[in-house]
Amino acid sequence: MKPKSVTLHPDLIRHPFSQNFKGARVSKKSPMLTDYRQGKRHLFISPKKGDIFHICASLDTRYICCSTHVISHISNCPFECTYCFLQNYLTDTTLTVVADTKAIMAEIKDKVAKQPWRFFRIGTWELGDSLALPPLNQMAAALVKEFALTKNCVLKLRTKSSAVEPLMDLDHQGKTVVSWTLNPPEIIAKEEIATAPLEKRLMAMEKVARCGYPIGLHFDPMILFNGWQNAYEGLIKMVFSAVRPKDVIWISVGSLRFNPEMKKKIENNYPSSKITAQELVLGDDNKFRYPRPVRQDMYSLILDCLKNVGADQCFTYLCMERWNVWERVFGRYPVSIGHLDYLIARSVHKRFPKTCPTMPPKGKYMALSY
Amino acid sequence: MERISLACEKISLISPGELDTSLDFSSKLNPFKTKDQELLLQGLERSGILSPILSIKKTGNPNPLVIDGFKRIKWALSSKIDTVCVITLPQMEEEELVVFLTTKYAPTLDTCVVRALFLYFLVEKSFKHKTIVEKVMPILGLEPHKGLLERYLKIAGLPHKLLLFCHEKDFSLKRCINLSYKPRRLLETIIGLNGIISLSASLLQELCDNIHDILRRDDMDVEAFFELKQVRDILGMEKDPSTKTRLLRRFVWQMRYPVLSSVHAQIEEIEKRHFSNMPFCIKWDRSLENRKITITGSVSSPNELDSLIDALSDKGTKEGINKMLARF
Repeated sequence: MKPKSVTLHPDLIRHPFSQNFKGARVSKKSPMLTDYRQGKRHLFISPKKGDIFHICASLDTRYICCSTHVISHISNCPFECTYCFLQNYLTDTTLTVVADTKAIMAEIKDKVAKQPWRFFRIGTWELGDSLALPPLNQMAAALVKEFALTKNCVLKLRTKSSAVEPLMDLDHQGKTVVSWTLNPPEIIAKEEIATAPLEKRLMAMEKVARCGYPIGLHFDPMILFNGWQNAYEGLIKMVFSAVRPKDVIWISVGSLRFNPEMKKKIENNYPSSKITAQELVLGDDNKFRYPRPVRQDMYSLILDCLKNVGADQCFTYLCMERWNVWERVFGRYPVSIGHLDYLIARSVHKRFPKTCPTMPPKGKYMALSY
Repeated sequence: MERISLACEKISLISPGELDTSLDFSSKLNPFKTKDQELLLQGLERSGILSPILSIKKTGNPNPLVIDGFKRIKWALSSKIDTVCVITLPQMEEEELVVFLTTKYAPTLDTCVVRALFLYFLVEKSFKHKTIVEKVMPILGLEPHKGLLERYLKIAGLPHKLLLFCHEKDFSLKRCINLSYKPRRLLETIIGLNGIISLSASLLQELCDNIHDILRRDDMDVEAFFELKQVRDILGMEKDPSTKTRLLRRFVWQMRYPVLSSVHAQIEEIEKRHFSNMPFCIKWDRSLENRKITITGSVSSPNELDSLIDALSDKGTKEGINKMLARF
């Protein structure tokens, strides 16, 4: 997928990344598109302005969150997922990439140095897909090289694409997790428009696993439809015929959620989608979700399927869920957000020591405040 | 005023039938009962036409285009008056004309519905969207956005009976917009039930939202829904509208929220079995998200306090609470 137009900020004309965009329009200003779809087709390459490294904006202390960190250097995405919150979030919808890797890394290094004992998981997917466009992939490759030199960080690339070629043959040092958002083919076709089909995602996953990258799996958002049980069971079988459980660093599971304003947006932008017509309840975080008993059934099914394929050794956690849901699904729950952060770090240290070389100090994680 | 004084020599007597009244928006407001209509008619009956009709010249139209005095003309026609006094102004620019009309009608456009109808009327009369957005919307106190105009135009397209209902209940813009995205057939059917059930603004909204979601989820059409035996039974029963309303509302809710309904029914059953004669109230989180039971009781004497403590300490109470919590 290629952007229809590229606008390059003049400060970046000599930047190596910009050499791929000869002939791009040069302007200090983004085209400032406001139409959600139109913005997806126009790329603006921007210098870094202000801080872009922060904790995931979804963090809510009333839920158990994984407290991942993110760098928001990508804004908007060429894919069209019906459930995507960006359709109700972006003011300037122009697909924007902050290209200055050095400036990004300087901010990250500065911030992570303040907590050298902590294992930082740093995603690039907060406002877009990490590998959806060739320019983003080059950017991702540059970050992979930089993260290979860091001590207490891991880069989390998360995608629905299959464009992993730029990641091949990089010396990643196990410091990059390549992860996929996964749904059954029925959902990909209907709700994840223009993304790579499941087979292609799995082929790409197989390739990066062969290159030694730890793999992240995100069964999130799980979506309810007739026959969802068999579909998700089939999905997990397919995934673990492409990768081995020992290649998988973590698995997150979550269900569809969106804020009430999104309902109308989704219905207007994607009239044939039925996701908003399912039974949904409003949670304490002002987001619609399936009723708790339904979510519990969905998560339990995933856990059972993971057990059946021998993947129960992979660290599996719920994304933005209540402690009572954790308890129903796992029979236990992290007592705090810091506790979950610690459990993830401990699992990575045990299973992927190259990625997290030092044993995380439990006390310091438990004392983290959010 | 300057225009009028300049054009004073253009006052003439014209037969009301020869006047072009195509810019008459007030007739569109007829069923909507705005404040001033009745008063004006009474005044005409009492004193006749006291001030001249205002019109402009229009290229290619031999008849003067009336911009003010529509009700007077209508009254003159119905009263079989031969001629009326008309001031004809020189031709106006589109912007000038639209500002004149908007300023004239603005005081009567007191609900979202009539504002929508007025904007639709201007579009129908071929005023440019740009002019409407930039000149008309600010006069009406609306943000001058193209998207907002489109929303108002969509509202104007709602079924007539529903527009009347929304006007009478003074529906907000948000509510009207929400309705404008529902299938027309559904809106017509629900508004058609008014009288059989007691339709309030919030109930109309709730039924539209829930039934629309059921239709989309179950691939059902409006007719099939209202042909469901349970729906027919409720609407056809010999009960007062408020009973039917309650039953229909409950049926729709159960269909829209089958999981919640079923869990609540189980909890209510436990409540009935364990707490029906207890001196306290039991409440739980209706979204089922939080595993939490709230027990409330009030006392007005030491004896009542003793009874409350005894009831709370009862083995059956604990058993009931545990059973309820197990549903979370």
